[in-house]
Amino acid sequence: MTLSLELQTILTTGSILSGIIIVNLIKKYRLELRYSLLWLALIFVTIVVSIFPQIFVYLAKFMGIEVPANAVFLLVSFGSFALIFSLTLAVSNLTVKSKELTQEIGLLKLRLQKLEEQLNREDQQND
Amino acid sequence: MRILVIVPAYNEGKNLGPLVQSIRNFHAGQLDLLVINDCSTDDTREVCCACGIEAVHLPCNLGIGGAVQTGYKYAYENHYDIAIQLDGDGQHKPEYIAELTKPIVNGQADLVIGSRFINYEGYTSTWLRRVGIKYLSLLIKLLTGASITDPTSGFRACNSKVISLFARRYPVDYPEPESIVYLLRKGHRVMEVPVVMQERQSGRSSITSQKSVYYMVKVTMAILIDRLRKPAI
Repeated sequence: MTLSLELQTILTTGSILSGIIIVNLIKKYRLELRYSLLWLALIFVTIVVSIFPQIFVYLAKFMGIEVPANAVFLLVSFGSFALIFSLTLAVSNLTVKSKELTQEIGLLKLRLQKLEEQLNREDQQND
Repeated sequence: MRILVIVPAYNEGKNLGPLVQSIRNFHAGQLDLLVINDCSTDDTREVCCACGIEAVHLPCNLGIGGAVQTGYKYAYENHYDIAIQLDGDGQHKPEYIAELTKPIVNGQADLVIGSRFINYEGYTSTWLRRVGIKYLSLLIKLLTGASITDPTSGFRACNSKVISLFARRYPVDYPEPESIVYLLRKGHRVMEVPVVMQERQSGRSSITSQKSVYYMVKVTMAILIDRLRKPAI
């Protein structure tokens, strides 16, 4: 598989730019590194592949796919699935945490209310 | 013996007053009551204040599992010996609390379920729901060997061992059947006593007909997956 030099340049600069954007966001603490690792890995792969597109010829042959472009599409959709799944994992993690926090806040509110009532009663007794 | 009655309530403002009244009539002074107001949009909060009921007002709606677990956490933190779960919709009659706690006091069981299907008295739900309950009962029988006639019953009592387990882990939605299988896996004794239930006094059940398919699939998967877990988890 041969790519035109123009396309190769666009792909490579595009990937490198995305990588810079992500690293910048991490630098500014707007992106958690643990959630962006998968993206960084993906960008690394895109950079390598846009410089050496021949990789896909071997990959396609290895996977038994006649047209290398189809191997590209297949692997891209697998990659997207992996990213979406990592989001599902993160969401369930957050659901558990927010449930625990909600319960804790509810219980603390009750405790606070009881303490306030107790304090009020003691105040009245002292008056 | 310190006993806590956990009443999960979501928009049960109309039912809560009479329910609390009847609990107090039957068991005045013998048990503590804790309502879990699962972020209701009606006057549940006001009713709790007006009746002087101790209540946890959750800031977000967690669903029945999360609400009930809040009660178990409270029971755990305050070292209760027995926790009783009783729905806020008036289906469960407080008269049966004594029967529910008796096997626990005698040390015969760790969890006691109030079952409608031992004597088939009173309200036994619609035909379709009974079929669903029979199916879940059969599934639990096949997988664990235990005979549970009313696995979906939310009228239950448990001892402090189960309280500490539930405080740590409790299924989020449609928790009853899954929590039974969970306890059985942990080697706890689950027992049933006959109770009579009433049709809910007002309002609607959280399990509508569209949701019942999701309910069956979700609960089946939860039970099957629980069987794959090791006893220690």
